[in-house]
Amino acid sequence: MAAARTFVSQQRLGRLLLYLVTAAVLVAVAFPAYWLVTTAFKYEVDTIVSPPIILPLRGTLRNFTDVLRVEHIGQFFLNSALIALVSTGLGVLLGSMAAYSLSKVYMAYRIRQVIMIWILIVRIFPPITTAIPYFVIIRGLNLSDTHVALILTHTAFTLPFVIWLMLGFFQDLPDAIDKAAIMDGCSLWQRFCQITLPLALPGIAVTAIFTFIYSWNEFLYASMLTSRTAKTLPVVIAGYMSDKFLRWGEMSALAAMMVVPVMIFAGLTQRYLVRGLTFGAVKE
Amino acid sequence: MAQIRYQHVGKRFGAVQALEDLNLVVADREFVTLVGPSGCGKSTTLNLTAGLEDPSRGEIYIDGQLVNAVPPGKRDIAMVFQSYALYPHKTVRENIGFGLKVRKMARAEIESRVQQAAQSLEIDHLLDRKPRQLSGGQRQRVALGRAITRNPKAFLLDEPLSNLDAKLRIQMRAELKLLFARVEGTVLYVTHDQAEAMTLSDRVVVMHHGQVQQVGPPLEVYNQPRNLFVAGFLGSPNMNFLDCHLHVQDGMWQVQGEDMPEGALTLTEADLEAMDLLAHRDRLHGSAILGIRPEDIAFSPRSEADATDSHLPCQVIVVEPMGSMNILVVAVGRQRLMISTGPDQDIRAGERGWLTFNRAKLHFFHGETELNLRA
Ligand SMILES: Nc1ncnc2c1ncn2[C@@H]1O[C@H](COP(=O)(O)OP(=O)(O)OP(=O)(O)O)[C@@H](O)[C@H]1O
Ligand SMILES: [Mg+2]
Repeated sequence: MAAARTFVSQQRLGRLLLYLVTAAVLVAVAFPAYWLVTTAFKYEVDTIVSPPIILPLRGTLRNFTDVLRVEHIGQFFLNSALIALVSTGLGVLLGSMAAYSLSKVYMAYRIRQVIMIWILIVRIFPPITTAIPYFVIIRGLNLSDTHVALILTHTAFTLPFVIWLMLGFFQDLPDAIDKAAIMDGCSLWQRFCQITLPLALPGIAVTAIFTFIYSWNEFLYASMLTSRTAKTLPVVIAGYMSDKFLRWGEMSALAAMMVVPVMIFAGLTQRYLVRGLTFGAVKE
Repeated sequence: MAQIRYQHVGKRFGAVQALEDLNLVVADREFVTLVGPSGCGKSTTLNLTAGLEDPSRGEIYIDGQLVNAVPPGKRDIAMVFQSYALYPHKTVRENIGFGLKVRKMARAEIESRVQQAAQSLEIDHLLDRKPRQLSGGQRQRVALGRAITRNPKAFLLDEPLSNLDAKLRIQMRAELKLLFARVEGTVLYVTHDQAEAMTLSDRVVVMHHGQVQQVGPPLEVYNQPRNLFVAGFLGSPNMNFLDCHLHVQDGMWQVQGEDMPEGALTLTEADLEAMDLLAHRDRLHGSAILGIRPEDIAFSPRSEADATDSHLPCQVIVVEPMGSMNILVVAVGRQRLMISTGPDQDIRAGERGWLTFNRAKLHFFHGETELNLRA
């Protein structure tokens, strides 16, 4: 009896601890978001006072109207969207194709391992180390300050990620389904488009979300390779920081607005995240 | 429909010789079953036929045409997989019609063929469902439907029933037999269930370690196994084996062994005649392995006084009532034998008695080569 009670109370204690940890994590994750949004609505003086105002009692839309009045802000927004969407599409398409061919056993295991590591090397370097070469190459190609420049760069940087992620998804697909498609007369391309890709949709959705977020938020290369026509929002945000001033309000307002498209994109892709899409294909 | 011919076909995966020198002709409209233990090369044979694997050596002909270099999709062969391998994102209708669509058949024609296949498999009410909404048996039918709509030259089935529960498997087994009789297909069927092999096939191919052990009609293989492996593989419960020693005495063959006392089994010329061994009587000499199936042994709980010279003393260890029969495990010396007896014979574990062999059904195998002495 006593033992049973100890067991129950131990369980309760465990659950309490679990709640505490969950709450701590939630605060850690949610607080920056909360801070960002509240700062976006604060008067400028309220953003720099000490101690900081955790619970603002007054607010303004001034930061938003200021941001929206920035010259060409609409175009910068479109630039960001265009570049992120196109590099996501390109990266996922090319990366999936590469991963698909790597998931087939056409080549020896060793060779595949070498190729996989080779692909990863691109991501092992800190991006800053390749920034200058990229800059020189892009200028040499006469692509400075063009969308193409950023699309190419972002696609190149996301490819390793896409390939590694998609390879895992492809390898999880039952081999027999591919064989069945072969027997049904499908070519390699037909199998890829009509069988493998639809079955890997959850994987593609995950990969696309991450790729989109990467490109949408990417700052280093965007600031180096663009100046005006292809300028993106992160570069605009950086403009609120200088050695003379720090415009917390506008920065937060623009950042808060930047979150919205990501949410929409994630929402659109999320319905493909349903688990167990392959359920029922093969006897598990 | 088509004939499939294998000529010296072999397949090696690195160090593993999965298939060794296969020579076989599957006749047009014949139902041939490959049986054998796990890893003996059954699936490999099917994959080679389908073109999913390339043979390391040898030639495969379909309808007289060499197909070694023909890609799978062009061989006009349908395959049914153990795991069914349905397309999970397609409906049953799309699953069944996909092969036709890929081959650019007119939509109306596809629809009518799908309907026809679905009706013959009694799944026409499921056409708009996705595979995940089907039971195991229904998925199995869809997989079959996908194979038959294409009206291929041959069907390859790799353990199609092994994922079904025992009852459904027996039901589907009968349906398969009807189905393939109706579509008049050449069928190459893989199973390790010997009941399926026996009931479905025109001929069975028993394989072991990548080698064909015996090819023949099921009953022939059952009754005249070519070697010890085939004898032991087919039949349930298994054939019993006893090490023995043969010698001739007064024109009779004495079968003796460590567990068979002198005089336990004596064979006359008439017995050899019945066993088809008379012509090979000179081989009945020295050590051999005696094989006898459970149904060819009778148990009698009589006293020793009644024993004749061909009775073997034994003790019942286990009685397994199966309903339609009883299976007895009996000890003969240190050997265990399995016997099947009628369900009405009242036998208890621990009981002592005598075994009588049906002498026409005895098999003798060479002690070293393990070949049937009759072969
Ligand atoms: N792709 C492969 N790579 C390496 N070895 C293989 C490959 N496919 C089959 N083998 C080997 O070849 C042998 C025969 O395999 P196979 O699949 O034909 O056996 P099986 O008779 O179908 O067995 P099971 O009843 O278990 O399905 C096995 O030893 C197996 O390990
Ligand atoms: Mg197999």
